[in-house]
Amino acid sequence: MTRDFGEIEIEEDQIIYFKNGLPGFETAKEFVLLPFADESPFIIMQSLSNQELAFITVEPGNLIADYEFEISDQKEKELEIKSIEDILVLNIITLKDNLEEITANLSAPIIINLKEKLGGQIILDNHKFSVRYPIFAEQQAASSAQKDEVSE
Amino acid sequence: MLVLTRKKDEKIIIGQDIEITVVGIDNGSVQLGISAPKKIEILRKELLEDVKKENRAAAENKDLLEKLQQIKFNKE
Repeated sequence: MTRDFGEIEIEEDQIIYFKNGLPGFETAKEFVLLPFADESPFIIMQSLSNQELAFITVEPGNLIADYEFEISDQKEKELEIKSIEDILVLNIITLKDNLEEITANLSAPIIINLKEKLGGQIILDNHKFSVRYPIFAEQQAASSAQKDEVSE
Repeated sequence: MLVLTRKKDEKIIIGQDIEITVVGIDNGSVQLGISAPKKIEILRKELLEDVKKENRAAAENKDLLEKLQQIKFNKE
């Protein structure tokens, strides 16, 4: 049972296991990734244990051009990462009423090993990336154009 | 909580393999050097707390989902 898509069939091999949960949600250990809609860049990360818990995520390529970080040896081991090609990086989006206040958490990306179905949220302690990065910062033109559309 | 007084360059050992050195003291800030096994995660606590807070805020998205339809990224 999902929060946003009603009841859907989930195959065993779609389940991503988060050994430590997520900071603030330590008991939520199993998630599935569900595309928000056709053609949408957003992916809903739905908890299996708590139907009401679902995060909105997006791949960082949509947000920022130079997004580079290092995954520690320990995390690589924990997530059993053998090849960079097996991993998917997602950033959690915080929605706000006002579109321009919507932010993405670049400081704590979700790393998913698609091959082993293991996930974790890592915290980059390097001052470089914000926990609340306004996603329209680099697209002011686009966002004001959209605002006009919305207000019409 | 154990409270210790240390001077610059003095160290504290925690367990077998964690060593903390007071590297510098400057105007209310203490610079610490930490040697620990790689498997020990070291974070500034306020950053972890901030990520928890943001995750909780991000989970409050149920009534705002329709906003997603208004967001388009200008991908090249």
